[in-house]
Amino acid sequence: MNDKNIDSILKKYPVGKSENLIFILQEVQDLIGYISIESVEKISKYLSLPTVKIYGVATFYDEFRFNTNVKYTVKVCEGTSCHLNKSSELIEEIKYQLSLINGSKEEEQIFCLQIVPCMCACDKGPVFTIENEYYTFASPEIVKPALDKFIEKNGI
Amino acid sequence: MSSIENDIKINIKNILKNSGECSNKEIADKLSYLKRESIPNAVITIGIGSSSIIAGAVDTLNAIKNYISTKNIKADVIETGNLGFCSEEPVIGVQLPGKNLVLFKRVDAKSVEFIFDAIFSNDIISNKVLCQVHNSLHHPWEDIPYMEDLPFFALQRRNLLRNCGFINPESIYEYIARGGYKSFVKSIINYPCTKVCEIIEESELRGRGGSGFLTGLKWKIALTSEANNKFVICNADESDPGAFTNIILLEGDPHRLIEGIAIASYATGADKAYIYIRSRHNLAYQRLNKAIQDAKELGLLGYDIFNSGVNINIIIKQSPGAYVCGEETALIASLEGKRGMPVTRPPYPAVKGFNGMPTVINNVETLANIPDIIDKGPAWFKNSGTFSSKGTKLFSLGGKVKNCGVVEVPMGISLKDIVFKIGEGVKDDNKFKALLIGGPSGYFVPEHKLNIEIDYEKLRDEGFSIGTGGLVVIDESGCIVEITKFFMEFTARESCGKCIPCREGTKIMSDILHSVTRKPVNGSGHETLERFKGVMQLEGLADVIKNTALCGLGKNAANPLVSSMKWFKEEYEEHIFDRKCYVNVCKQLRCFKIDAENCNGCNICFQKCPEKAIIGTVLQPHFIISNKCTGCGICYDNCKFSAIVVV
Amino acid sequence: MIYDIEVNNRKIKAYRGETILSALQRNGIIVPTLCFMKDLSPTGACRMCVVEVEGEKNLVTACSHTVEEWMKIYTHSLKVINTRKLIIEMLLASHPDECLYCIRNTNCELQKYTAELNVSERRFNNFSERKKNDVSGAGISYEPSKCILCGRCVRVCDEIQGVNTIDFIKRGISTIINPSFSKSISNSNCIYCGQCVRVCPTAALTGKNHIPYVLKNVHKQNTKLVAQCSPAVAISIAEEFGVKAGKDFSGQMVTALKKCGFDAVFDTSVSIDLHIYETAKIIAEKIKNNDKTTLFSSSCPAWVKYAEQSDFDLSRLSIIKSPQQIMATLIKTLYAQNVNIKPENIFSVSISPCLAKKYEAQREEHSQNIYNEVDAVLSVRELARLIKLSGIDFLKCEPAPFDEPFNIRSSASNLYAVSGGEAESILRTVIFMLTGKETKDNTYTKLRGFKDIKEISVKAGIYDINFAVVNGIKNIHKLLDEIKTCKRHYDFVEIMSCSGGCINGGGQPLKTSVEDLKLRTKIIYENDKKDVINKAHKSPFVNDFYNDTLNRLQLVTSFDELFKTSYKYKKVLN
Ligand SMILES: Cc1cc2nc3c(=O)[nH]c(=O)nc-3n(C[C@H](O)[C@H](O)[C@H](O)COP(=O)(O)O)c2cc1C
Ligand code: SF4
Ligand code: SF4
Ligand code: FES
Repeated sequence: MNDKNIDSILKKYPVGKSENLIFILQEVQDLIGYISIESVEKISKYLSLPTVKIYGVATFYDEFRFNTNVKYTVKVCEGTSCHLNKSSELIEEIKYQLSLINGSKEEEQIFCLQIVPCMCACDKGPVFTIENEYYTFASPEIVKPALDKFIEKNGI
Repeated sequence: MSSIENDIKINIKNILKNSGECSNKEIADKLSYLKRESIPNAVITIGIGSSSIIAGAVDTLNAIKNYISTKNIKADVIETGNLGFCSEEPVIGVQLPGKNLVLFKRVDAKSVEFIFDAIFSNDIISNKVLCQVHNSLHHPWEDIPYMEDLPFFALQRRNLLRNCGFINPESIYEYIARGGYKSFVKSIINYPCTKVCEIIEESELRGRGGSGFLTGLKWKIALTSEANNKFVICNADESDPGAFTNIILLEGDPHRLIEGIAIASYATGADKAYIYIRSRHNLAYQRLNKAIQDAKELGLLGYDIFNSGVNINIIIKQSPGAYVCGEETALIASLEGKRGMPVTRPPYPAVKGFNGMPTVINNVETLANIPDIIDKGPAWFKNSGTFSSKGTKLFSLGGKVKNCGVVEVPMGISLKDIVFKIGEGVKDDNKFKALLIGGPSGYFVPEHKLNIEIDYEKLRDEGFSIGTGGLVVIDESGCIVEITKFFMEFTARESCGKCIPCREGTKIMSDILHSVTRKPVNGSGHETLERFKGVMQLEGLADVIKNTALCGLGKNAANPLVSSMKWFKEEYEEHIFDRKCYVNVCKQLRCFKIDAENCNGCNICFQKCPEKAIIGTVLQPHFIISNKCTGCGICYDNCKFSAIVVV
Repeated sequence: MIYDIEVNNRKIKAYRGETILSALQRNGIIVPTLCFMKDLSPTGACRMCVVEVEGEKNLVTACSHTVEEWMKIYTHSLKVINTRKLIIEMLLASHPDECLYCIRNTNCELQKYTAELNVSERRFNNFSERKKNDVSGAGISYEPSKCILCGRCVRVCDEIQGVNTIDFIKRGISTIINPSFSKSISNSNCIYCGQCVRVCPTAALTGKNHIPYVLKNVHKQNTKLVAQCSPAVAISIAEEFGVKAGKDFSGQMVTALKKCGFDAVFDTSVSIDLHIYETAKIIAEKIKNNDKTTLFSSSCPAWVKYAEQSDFDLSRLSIIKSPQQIMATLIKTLYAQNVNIKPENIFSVSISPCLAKKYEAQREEHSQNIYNEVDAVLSVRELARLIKLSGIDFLKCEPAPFDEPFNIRSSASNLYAVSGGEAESILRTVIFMLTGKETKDNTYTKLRGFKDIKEISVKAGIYDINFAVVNGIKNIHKLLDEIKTCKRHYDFVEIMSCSGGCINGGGQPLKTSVEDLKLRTKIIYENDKKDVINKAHKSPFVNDFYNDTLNRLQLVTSFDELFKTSYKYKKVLN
């Protein structure tokens, strides 16, 4: 099933042109949620690019994930303004709360955390989002209730 | 509406070639409608962009739509980009026929109803109003300040931003109605490529992406390089923590950028242009995409534009996320599908770039300047600014400042004016400590240096630099050492890892700063010695990294460190010698004491302390053994009787 | 165009378009480099080669900047020296302080520069956790904590070998050199050619150490410690003792090994003769039957692994065991029979210029029979270490001959050490087998030299013989494509993974220059020219073997046990 979909992504790009690698990886991750070994093997054949080069490229960038099939993303801003407003404490707390929810299994993570450089809300920091819900002026205390609310709403 | 669009579509050549003055009265009327000079019914605008969405603009939008349909009011609701005044968001605008546009601030979903109730009966809720926008064709409102009168806008010169927050970024017609794409058509029809390069060169426009290289010169180099293919890349990978100037432009006025890119492509003879945009799935991407589609549909992009034989092709690529990919050679590597590692220059991209072909890389802001320069001429552009730096510059003003947002100021304005006039000073009337200019590879500017004018050369002479235009105000509650550490950690993480000085050096420096901002873990004298040794090396390290790193990231990595050590030496000394962070930011340096008066011996701190640094018996005052305490603050957070104090 | 540039206040000559580094090197000015590799594009990663150029704001890397006529360069000003010193110190911050116990002690480039730049204390400490070692690989061990990320291994693996096992993974301070999906080396597509080990400036990549296994069996009761030496060892071992390349030290080597405690020392060339003979038989048969399939050689274990993990049709691979394994089998059967001990009581060591041979020795085809064919494999470097460990003055050893019964060989066998040699020696015998006549001129220059692909067509009576040689594993696809698209036919294709052949193997002395390779090649061809027994089928051992020995030999299973092996597809991430 997945294989077919990956083929259909590949078909959009010319054979052997490795300059499209990153865009193919982006599409693959959009489709299956992460970069799997199987998909890398397929891309490798299609672009005539060794898998290690693909892996090297993918690990260079923040965007790509391996092994974890994440459903929801939590984003926190760590811009300078947010940092001044103590976003590091917020990040610690989010990390801790997410680790409680996700547990130790690498493969079945529900949430993944993305730390972003600036969310353009420098006056409202610290800021974090759970999918499309925004929390401004966030203190560590509101993390748990926010996550609980989200979990309840989405029936996780 | 759609009939207007059709008319414009059919007459597009006339409109664009006749430099705006349209002979056809009917079309002229329609354009004036699009400019909202004469409107048949009320127009409501709401700024929807990354920053206002976080402020709740989507809820406000829904409330507006709801209000209109339930009250059965005939009004157009238009989603615009953001005005740039982040601290007052969500901003909405209401324009009644014949009246000036009024902007309201901080409009949450709840306040929509009473604002609208009032204005539709010609009344204004004064504490929600931001300003009115002057237009000689309309009647002014009484007792409402004009935009120019607000301190935030008074010193700004909004050229690039003039459409942001007013036009619908998803409508190419609104852009055209305001004179858009004229410059492009003028270029391809009236000027040969070299002439366009010359105009830009004459305007002395310098790159806004950090380096300040003359844009016209860069284009010329690319134009004169012999090659089969040439490329233009628009660098929209803005990922400095705390900078959001480009994103405002992209979300608020995408066509201005598209036009700039189109002109750049024409001027340099490029057959393809790429926009390399930061992060994924955001609004800017969608708006740009739509803009390109629309421009193609009108024949403004694509093949043989307006029968001039010019082909222009713009493709958007989304950056997979790495700060260093803002660096031009790394960006090219990333576009080529490789690890985003910078390579040595020369050869410069303008000679040998993407796929080994001449490539012009320009920042979003640089390119957005182009249409106006072509339209109004280089002399107009040179009118504002200083001897060596012309035009206007966008800054994102953030941190502990009252008015936060993106501002466009003429070159030559002083930093003090930006912070204290436009920004109206420090938030909560705290004391100003430092201004951080240029993000994680930028500089700390102390108060007595704020008189400096914004000018590439003047800033450089004083040892600063504009960078990409982030300005962050730090007030008395901020700890300079800690912020420097934060930046060092950022660069260590974001370094591409290729060259030794940058990869290892930044890590060593952040480790040293780390040791300065926390207590010795095991309290051995050895660690103290290490700390002193480390601190003594900092300057030497900074120097070597600056001198030897391959790319700008490494070369500038030590800037915050060097400038903070220069201007805020005392703070380092407090941390190093007194082992104190007097603003209590460096938590691990804190020392706690139990105030025996307030302690009723509840024993909770004793149980919670992970270091077993608290002793005492139940119902008796407890004590903290100070050299066991690591300053984690758990006891402090848990004490219900405020008996634990920081000393 | 030549012009003068000024370096350290003296004029030197420079060519237009060359790098500063090359001009300096030619003029005898030494600038330290860590990431620079001759003939490969500069990456400018280490920044050790910085020099001061008057008028430039920052220091300039000599390896990546071209010289300009106006340049005034200072290569060893105080600023430059201090900068280099600090760069080294930065590396040392995260480098383990283990020089004394490190295999590269005294020949580590990092250590060398540390000493040269007078670094005398550890000024910085990097508090990151030590990265885990990977000792899973059969031929190669990897210690990431010692890696300085110069990227030489990556470039060799990609640009020279074309195998692409390793690359930079992650970024910034977490950058690490790893195989695909950070798998262990044993699960990767590494073919153990060992070229990365040869270029690594530190001990991050090293050959698997087999010395301890050998030491355990020295003078052990009831155990015979036996060595077989590949022909590419005798001509390079002396370089490890400071002798210039190009001399054959097989006699001294035998003595030294004896002194180290080996009970018998044999010449792998003897089994090479058998290998030539067996392979030639197949080829001659094929040609006679007008069978147009191509036989691909299988004596290079790195190539065999490469073939097994690709979509190569394994039925085309020669099923004849490699010389090392043939000899090992003979040792555990014929020799065991002769001295009357059980095969388990022989500890058989192969001394080889190759790290992939360590892998070959432990392939299940060769180790899971009734006995382990080869028990340990020592590289040239390990052999030198063993000799030093045993306190032997190698250069003063009296030469001695190899031990019976494996001591008589043809000079053709020694050609196996160089690229094209296998094809040439087999060709000599094939011609004889097809025509029954001995040729006078036995030199086939078309098969010699360092070209990527070499081919030859020879007429032997009514038959046409077509051979090809692939010099360096990267070129295999070129040849396969050619076979496919141009419909070229070859009766036999020789493939050696390392460019130049075993004389450039991963187990050879680390600092082998192109010059050394030429000298090593020269001595082999010279010896061949002088020898009268220059074809495998003329070797008395071979004749004796088929006429007599084979009948006496009590093989455990069958004739196949001696000569045949098998291959199977291996799934790895390519
Ligand atoms: C680490 C680093 C990050 C950079 N990030 C950006 C960026 O986000 N946006 C940008 O336009 N230029 C960035 N630059 C500058 C670019 O390398 C380049 O100078 C610029 O895009 C040239 O455009 P300009 O001539 O219009 O300024 C960065 C440079 C460095 C060294
Ligand atoms: S200076 Fe830093 S980011 Fe730039 S090439 Fe070197 S390691 Fe990479
Ligand atoms: S393993 Fe060796 S050769 Fe490879 S990058 Fe590390 S130090 Fe360089
Ligand atoms: S040798 Fe020049 S940078 Fe490494």
